Amino acid sequence: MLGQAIALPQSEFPPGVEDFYLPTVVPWEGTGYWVTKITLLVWVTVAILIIFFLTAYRNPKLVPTKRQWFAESIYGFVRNNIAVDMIGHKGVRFAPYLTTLFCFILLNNLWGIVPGAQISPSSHIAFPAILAVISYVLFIAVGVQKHGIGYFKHAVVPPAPGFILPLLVPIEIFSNFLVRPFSLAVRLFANMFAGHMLLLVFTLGGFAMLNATPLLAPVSLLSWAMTIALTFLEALVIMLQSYVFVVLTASYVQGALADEH
Amino acid sequence: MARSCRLSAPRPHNGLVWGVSAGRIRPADIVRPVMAGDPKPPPPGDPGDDPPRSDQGFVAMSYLISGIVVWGFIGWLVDRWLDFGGVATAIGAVIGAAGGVYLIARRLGA
Repeated sequence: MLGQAIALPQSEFPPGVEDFYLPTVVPWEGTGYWVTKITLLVWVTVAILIIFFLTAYRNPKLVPTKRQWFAESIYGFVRNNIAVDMIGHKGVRFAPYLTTLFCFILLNNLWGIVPGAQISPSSHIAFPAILAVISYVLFIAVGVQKHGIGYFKHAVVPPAPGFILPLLVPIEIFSNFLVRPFSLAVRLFANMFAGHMLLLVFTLGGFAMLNATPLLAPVSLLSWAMTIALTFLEALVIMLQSYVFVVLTASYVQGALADEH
Repeated sequence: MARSCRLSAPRPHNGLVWGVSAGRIRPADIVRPVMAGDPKPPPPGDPGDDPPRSDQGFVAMSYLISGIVVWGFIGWLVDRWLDFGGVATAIGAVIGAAGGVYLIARRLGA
């Protein structure tokens, strides 16, 4: 709260898109916007994940340490509840990718509610977009590997009588090859963007009302209480969106691996 | 029938994880059942069963919206071309919605 009070003079109300473009954190001139808080948060995410999993698995014990138990639980959750449940026993070979994806998205999203960070890299479309492209290339590659080039026919020609196919094939192409990567990226991005915007509105709105007239102080307090409540809502959205991204990736892989009907 | 098989005496197998051949087992998979204090295999269901799917809502939504958007767009192009004043767009959207529903029934219902 103190940090925001200090930052208040620069903060305009209402908040806008420009609030997502933070200044560079590198002190010297001429570096442009290559190293911002967003960049740093992604680097920290990657560092945390690498260090955590390396140390957790470096010396696995039969009776696990807490850290190892935690790492095992995360991997076991994605492996059993997403990969195997969605794809079947063949899904085990995708569990490492899905776990990496899940942890990366979850941590990146989590920065949105970590005090002091309070902005998620996922609220910039670039990160979800690249993740969606990776998943997109993955499921197409898996499909081509399994069915050969016939995968595309398998994917866009539904089991239906021939006269209705001209109606259905465009829908299948649009739904399977255009909407999928787009919706993966936009769903994650928009949720994190809107969440950050919501918190900004209630936090800065409290200050705006307080600055307008002291009579509105009780409403400002209500607004900040709402900020706290919405932070918990954000926690839910963060978990849900990382789960949904991974579940849908697994679903697309499952579709690519499915046998002919 | 498969359930009774699972409850019978342990089957001989050379892997540490049920249903996974030894070559597929990664170190994490070897330690996991012991670590979690849960040596049972995850409930695999019968091989013929479809696994429970939590993604079908998204798939259904995607088909429905895709149908409306694709055929609505084609209808809109026809409108632009022949100057029907929006009638073709409406017809296209309805036909697309019908196609989407049909696809949901075929892909998810069967």
